Amino acid sequence: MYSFYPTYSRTHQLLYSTIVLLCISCSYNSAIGQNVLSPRVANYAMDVTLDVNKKLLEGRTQLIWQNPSDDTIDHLQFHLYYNAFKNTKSTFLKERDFNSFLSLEEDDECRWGWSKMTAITDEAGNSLLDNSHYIQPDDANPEDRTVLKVPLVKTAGPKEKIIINFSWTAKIPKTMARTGYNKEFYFLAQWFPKVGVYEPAGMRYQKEGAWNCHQYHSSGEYYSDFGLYDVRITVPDNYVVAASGQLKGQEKKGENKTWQFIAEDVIDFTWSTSPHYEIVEDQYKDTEIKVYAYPDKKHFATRYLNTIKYCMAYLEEYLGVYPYSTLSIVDPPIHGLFTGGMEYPTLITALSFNSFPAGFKTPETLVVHEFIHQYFMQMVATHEVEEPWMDEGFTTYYESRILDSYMSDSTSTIEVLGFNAGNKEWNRAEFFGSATNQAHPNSVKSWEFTEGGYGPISYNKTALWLQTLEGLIGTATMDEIMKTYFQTWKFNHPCREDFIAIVNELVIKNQADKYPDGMDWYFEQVLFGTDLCDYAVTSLESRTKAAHRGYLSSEEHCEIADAAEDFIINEVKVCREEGMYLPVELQLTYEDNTTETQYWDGKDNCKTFTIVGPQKVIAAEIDPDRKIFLDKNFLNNSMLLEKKSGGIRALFGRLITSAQHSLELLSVLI
Amino acid sequence: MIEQATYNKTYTSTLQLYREGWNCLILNWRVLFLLHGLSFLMVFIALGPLSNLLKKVVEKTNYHEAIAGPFDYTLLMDIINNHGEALKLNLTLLLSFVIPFFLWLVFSSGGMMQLIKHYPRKVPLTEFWKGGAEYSFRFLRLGSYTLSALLILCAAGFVLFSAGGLSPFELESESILITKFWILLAAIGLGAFLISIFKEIAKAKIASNQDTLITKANLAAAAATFSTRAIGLGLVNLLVLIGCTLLYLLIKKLIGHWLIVAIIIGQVFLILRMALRFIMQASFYFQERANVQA
Ligand SMILES: [Zn+2]
Repeated sequence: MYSFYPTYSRTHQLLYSTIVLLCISCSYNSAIGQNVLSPRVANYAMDVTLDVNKKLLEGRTQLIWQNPSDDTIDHLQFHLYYNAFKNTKSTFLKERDFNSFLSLEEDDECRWGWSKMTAITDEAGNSLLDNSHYIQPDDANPEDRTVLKVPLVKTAGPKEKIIINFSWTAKIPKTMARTGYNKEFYFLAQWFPKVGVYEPAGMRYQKEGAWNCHQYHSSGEYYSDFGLYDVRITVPDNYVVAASGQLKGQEKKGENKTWQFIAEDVIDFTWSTSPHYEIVEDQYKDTEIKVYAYPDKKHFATRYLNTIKYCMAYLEEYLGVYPYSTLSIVDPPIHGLFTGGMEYPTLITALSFNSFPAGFKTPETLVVHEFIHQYFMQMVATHEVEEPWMDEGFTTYYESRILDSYMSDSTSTIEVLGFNAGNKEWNRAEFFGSATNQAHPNSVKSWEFTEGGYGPISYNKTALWLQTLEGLIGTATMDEIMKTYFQTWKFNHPCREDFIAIVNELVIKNQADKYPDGMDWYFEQVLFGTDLCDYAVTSLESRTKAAHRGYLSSEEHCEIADAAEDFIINEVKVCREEGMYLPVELQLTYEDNTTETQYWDGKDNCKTFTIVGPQKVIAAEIDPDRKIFLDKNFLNNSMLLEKKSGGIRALFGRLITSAQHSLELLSVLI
Repeated sequence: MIEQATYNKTYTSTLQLYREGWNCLILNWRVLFLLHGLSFLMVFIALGPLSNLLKKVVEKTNYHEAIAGPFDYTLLMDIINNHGEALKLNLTLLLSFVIPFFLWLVFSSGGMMQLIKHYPRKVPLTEFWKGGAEYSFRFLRLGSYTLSALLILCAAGFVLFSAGGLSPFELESESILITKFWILLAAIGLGAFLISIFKEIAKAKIASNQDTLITKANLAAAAATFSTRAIGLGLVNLLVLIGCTLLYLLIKKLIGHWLIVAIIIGQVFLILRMALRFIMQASFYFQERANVQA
C-alpha cells in the first residue's frame, strides 16, 4: 500500500493511503448499509491536482473493483481516453476528419493531450505497471493507446473485491471533442484512467464472461460500471469547481484550494473549473440544482431552471424519481462550446448564445435532452458505443414529448419572426432531410456508421419509431412500457433484447387482439432494417352505378329500376410507397360529413377499398390521427374527390406580394 | 433643353423640395400603374411554375387550406423533402428574374427622370419610354457603381467584423462580436444611406448635363453627397419611408390575419414604396435644378 504514491515521502504515502482507503471504504460500506441504488462495481477515491500553467493533471487513484462474475479474472482493462488526442494517428482522429474540427495551424501552445499511468500496484504492493500494455480490441491500430491492459499478479476470484492503486498524469488537450481547456475554462470529461466493464456470461450478449472495453471512437460515447466516487480536486484558489455529485468540503492550501465531491451510484465523474463561474441555485424537491455560467450568460439561468424543473417533474411522473441530491448545469463560455450539450452523471452541459433571439430554444432543448440522459445512459446504463440508439434515441423521444408539452408542438424548437417549429416535427424533418438516413440499420455499433447516418439514425430515427410505436399501441401502453423498462433496468446494463422483451410482454398483455404475437415484426423493420415508410392515397373515384334492369318484377316486362339506395360506387386506392409495412387506418368522409374508418394491414403494395352506398366519399385520409410519424410524406396521405383551389390562389397572392416587395429592394441600387 | 430653363422656382427648404416631389408624382400618378403592372407581371410569370407545382401537390389533399394558412413547418418540410428537386428548379427560375427586374428598374428610373424633367408640365406616358431609352445605359453604369460601392461596403464591414478572428474558440465572450455587429451594421446602414443620396444626385446630374460620359457627374455627385442640404433631403425621404413601413407593419399586425386584407394592404404598401422612390428621385432632381439655376 505504501508504494502507491511514489512521489510522496514514505510517511506521507502511508498516511495518505490509509486516509484514502479509510475514506472510500467508509463511504462504500456505510452506503451499502444505507440507500445503495446500484451494484457498486467500480469505486474510486481520487486525488487530482490541476496545474493551470502546464495544463497537467496529476492524479492518484484508489480503485476498489468487485468482480461481478463467477469467473476468475487475470487482468483489468482501462480506458485512457485522453490518448485519443495524443496525435492524429489515434483511432478517434483517424475515424474523424480532424481537419473539420481542428485548425491545422498550430498555435503557440501544443493542443494535444495524453494520459499515462506512472505507477500501478495491487493491494499487496505488487507493481503491475511493467506488464501492462496497450491493446486495440476494435481495429488493431497499433498507434491507438486508449485501452490499457493490466495483468494482475493476484487474480480476482468470483465476486471478489480487489484494490488497485495507481498514479497517473494527463496532459489536458486544448478544445478537443467534449473535453479540454481553452483560456481559463477547463472541462474535464473522460479525464482519468477508467476501468472497463467486465460482462459476466448472460449479461447483454455475452455467452461467456469478457471485458467490454472499446477503444475511443469518433462516433459514440461511453460505457462503464456503477460505483462510488470520492474525488478531491485541487485547483488555484480563485477557481470555482463544478462537478458530479455532492460537494462535501473545501480546504484552502496556500494558493490552491481542494474541493471534495462524492458521487454515489454513478457511472462516471466529470468536472469543470474556471475563475469566472458564477452560480445560480435552485431546488426541485430534494435535489439542489446549480447553474454554473460566465457573467455574460448568467441571465440564461432562469430559462434553464424553469425548464429543468418541468422536465424533472415530467420524468418523475412518467419514468421515476431522479434519486440524486444534486444536479449541476454548466453553461460553457463561447470559447468552450466544444463541451456544450453533453451529459454526465448529475452534471450536464447546455449551450446558450447571447446573439440568438429568445425564440431559438437551444438552451431549453439542450438542458432537457441532457437531463433525460440521467435516465437513459446514467441510470439505465446502456452501452452508448455499441447501441447508441438506446440512449440517444430514447432521449430524443422524451425530448420531444417534454418540450412539446412544456411549450407547444409548433413552437418548442424555434419561434422567430413568424417562423416556428416544434421539436417533434423538427426531428422528423431532420431525419427525412438527411441524405444518409438509410445508410445503416439502427442496430450497428457507433463506429460502424462508416457511410454516415450516426446522428439521423441513432437520434432521429429512433425517436420517430418510438413515436410511431406509441401511435400503434397507444400512449397508455407506451407509458407503461417505458416506466417498466426504466424501473426494471435502472442501475443496470440492459441491451436491446431486454427492451424488446418488455415491449412484447406488455403489448401482448394489453393489446393481444391487435398484436397477438407482440412487436418483433416491428423491430425487424425499424431496428434491423433500413426501409422507410410512406403510405399514400393514390386515387379516389366515385361513379354512379347503373340502375338494375331487365326482367325485374316479372317475365312479362323489361324494366329499369328506380335509383336504389346503394347507387354510388366509391373506390379508394391506397398504396405502400416504401419498403416498410405497418397497419394503417383509412378514414373516409362522406357527403354529409360523416366519417368511417377502414383498416388495412399495410402489407401489400396497394389495396383498393370499394364502398357502395347512397353517398359519395368526398375525402379519404390515411392515418388521420398522425399515429405513424415515420411516414415520410404526409402530403400524399389524403385525397379529395374535388379539387379545392382557394388556398392555392390565396397563397399565390401572398407569394406574389412578397416577391414584389423583395424585388423592389433592388431599387437601392438605382 | 426643355422646360428646365423656363421653370424658375426657388426652394427655400428641404421640405419644399420634398413637397414638390409629391406634386410631381401627383401629376404623373399614372406611372405608378406602369411600375406596379410590370412588377406584377414579371413576378406572376416567375411564380407560375411554382404555383403549378404546389397546385399539383396539395390541391386535392387535406392541405388545400393549410397551404395558405399560418406557417406550418411540417407542411413546408414535407414539400421540401419530397418535392425538393422541382422546388429547387422553380426557385432558380424565380431568382433568375432578378436580373431582368433590375434592368427594368434601370429603365424605369430613366423613364421617371424624363417625366420629372418635364415637371411642372404634364406629358404623355410615351415620354417615359423615351426617357427609359435615353438614360438606360448611363443609369446602368451608375447602377454597377452603386452595386460595387455597396459590395465594397459590406466586404469592408465583414473584414472589420472578422478582424481579430471569428473563431468562437478565440473569443473571450460573444458580447464583443454582438457589439461589433451592431456598430458595423449601423455603419453599413449609414454608408448605404450616403450611397443612395449619391446615386440620386448622380442621376440628377446625368440628366442635367446630358453628357455621355458619367464620370464627371459621378465625381460631382460624390462631392455633393456630403452637403447638408443633400443629407437633409435624404433624411426626409428616409424618414417618410420608415414612417410608412411602420404604419404598414402596424396595420398588418392589426388586420393582416385576414389573408385577402393582408394581400391588399401589402399591394398598397408596395405602390407606396414605388411612389416614394419616384418622389426621392424627383426631389433630388429639383434640388439639382435649383443648384444649377442658383
Ligand atoms: Zn444525447
